Amino acid sequence: MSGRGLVPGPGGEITRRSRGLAARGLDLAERLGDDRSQPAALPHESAFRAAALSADGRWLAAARSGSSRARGVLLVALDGSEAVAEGLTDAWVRSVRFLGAGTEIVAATQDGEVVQLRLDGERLGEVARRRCPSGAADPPRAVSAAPDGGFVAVLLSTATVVGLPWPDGPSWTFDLGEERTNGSNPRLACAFEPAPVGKLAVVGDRVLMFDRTGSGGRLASLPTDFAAGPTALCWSGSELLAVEGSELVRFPLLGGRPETRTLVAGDGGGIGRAAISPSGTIVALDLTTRAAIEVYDPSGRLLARRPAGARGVEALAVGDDGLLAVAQGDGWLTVWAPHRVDEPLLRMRDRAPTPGSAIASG
Amino acid sequence: MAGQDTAADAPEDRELRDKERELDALEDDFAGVRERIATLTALLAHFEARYHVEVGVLFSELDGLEARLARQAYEASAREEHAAAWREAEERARESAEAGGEAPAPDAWEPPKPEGKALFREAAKRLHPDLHEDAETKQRATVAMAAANEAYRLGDLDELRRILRGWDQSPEAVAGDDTAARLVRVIRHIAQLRERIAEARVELEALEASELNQMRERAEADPELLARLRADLEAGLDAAQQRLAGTGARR
Repeated sequence: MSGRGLVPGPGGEITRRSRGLAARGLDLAERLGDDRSQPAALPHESAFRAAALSADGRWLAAARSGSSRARGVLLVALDGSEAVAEGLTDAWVRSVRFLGAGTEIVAATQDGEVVQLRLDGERLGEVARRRCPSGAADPPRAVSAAPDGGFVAVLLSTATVVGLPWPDGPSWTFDLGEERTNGSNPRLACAFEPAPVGKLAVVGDRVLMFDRTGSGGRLASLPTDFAAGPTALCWSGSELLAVEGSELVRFPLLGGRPETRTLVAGDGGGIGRAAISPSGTIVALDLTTRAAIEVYDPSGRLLARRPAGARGVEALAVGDDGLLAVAQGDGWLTVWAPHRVDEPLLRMRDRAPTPGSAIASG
Repeated sequence: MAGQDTAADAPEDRELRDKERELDALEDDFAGVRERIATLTALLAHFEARYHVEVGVLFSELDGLEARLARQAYEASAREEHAAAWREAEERARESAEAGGEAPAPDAWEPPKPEGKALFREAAKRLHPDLHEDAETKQRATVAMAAANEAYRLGDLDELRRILRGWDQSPEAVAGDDTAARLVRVIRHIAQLRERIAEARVELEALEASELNQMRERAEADPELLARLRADLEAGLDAAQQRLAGTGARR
């Protein structure tokens, strides 16, 4: 279990100098075991930091992050039963995605591992596990999986991309810093997505295309005029869609100029998280100053507006039919069906982590 | 900041108002994230001092004893593997002593109150050096923001108000230009601010994920945790001291 290094500012100085002793305290606490008589699910303990919807819209995966006791992935059925299966991991899950169709998940953990989990009877069991080359020293920021399930890509904290043919095969890495054009920001914001046709696209301040197999050779590099980097990315036919702030940008990868459309009119205010549906037909934006999430089609037509709650939205996921999942830092998960405006399809708060727990109702 | 639209407004005036509203909202976002970073930093600073006193010193003491035991084992056997273990134990003892030496002494501290958080957000919106382009203003902002951080950490709201008043009364706080120039400036500011917000979110996530914060959250959820760690380390210290005594070593 290990936290990130290279945090700037006074907070970074504190966490740097205390890292060794704090890690030893955590290890000792693990050995001594948790005191289960203590309340185990304080709100801040069970924050959600990542979420994903399955391609068929029947499942929601949500990754816990908070204290070391609250870690792992919840798989929630969206068939009305609200059944929950729980999979525990050794370290916090930073990002989660479905691996192909069905109920298999890949989770990137704080200690630099990618774990494949599968719904097995009443719980999520581990199927495969791979370690990123730099392990806990450079923890993952995001994970993505190809639709065919044969490839997983990980974006590390230092803006390095790791390609992992799944579940085995030689991995490759690429330092995006070499492609940086603004020069000054060591933590490049970027999004990335594998294509069904054997390529991986990474968009930061350039659009990069990689051969996802073999050595991960670079295939193309196109300039962008992003200021802060995209917050969501998706393939749509021969186009790559990227969201930056309130703008949706289409990159025609077979040639031509990118096309930009502003989705939020006028005083949209601050934009936080964003999500694009698997086929690029729906875009969801977290309007932080309005405490709302707005759902658009790619032409900019507003399809729905949902309340976001008082606490910050940590993760968004949206389906091609407009199904919208929202994970919040205070442990609430909310799923909105596209055509229901009165109340959400599902609203639940995380419970105390219970190792080996069965699928439970509610 | 932005007024009502009127039919007589030129298009660039309306565009400028829209952009200024967007900038206002982004500044609120930025200030909110900076306030969360400052609050967590203050929490971590306070917890670090407490953790060092209650647990860190025992780790350090135990490491010192283990290093002495490792040295004895090497001196008794002269075997290379014992030499390696000794070097490793010495290094560990040095590291934990250094970490303890850097930790500040615990001080009286209370979590920030809502009024303090609001004041700090205001300070972050106006003073943060990332929000200024001119080198001289950036330099002044760096100094003022450092002072605001310290005042916030100490819960000194009067000092925060004084810093804000001083900034607002400075000549640089007055700006005036034609609409076109202001529009360009606001657009550039918006782009810059989006980048700073993305960076600040990464910084906040890294602080939240740090080992010290994990330890802090566990200790907050389980008030007896540090006492249990302390008891276990004290037992380890007793055992190490007995082993030293058994070999006739002097403490």
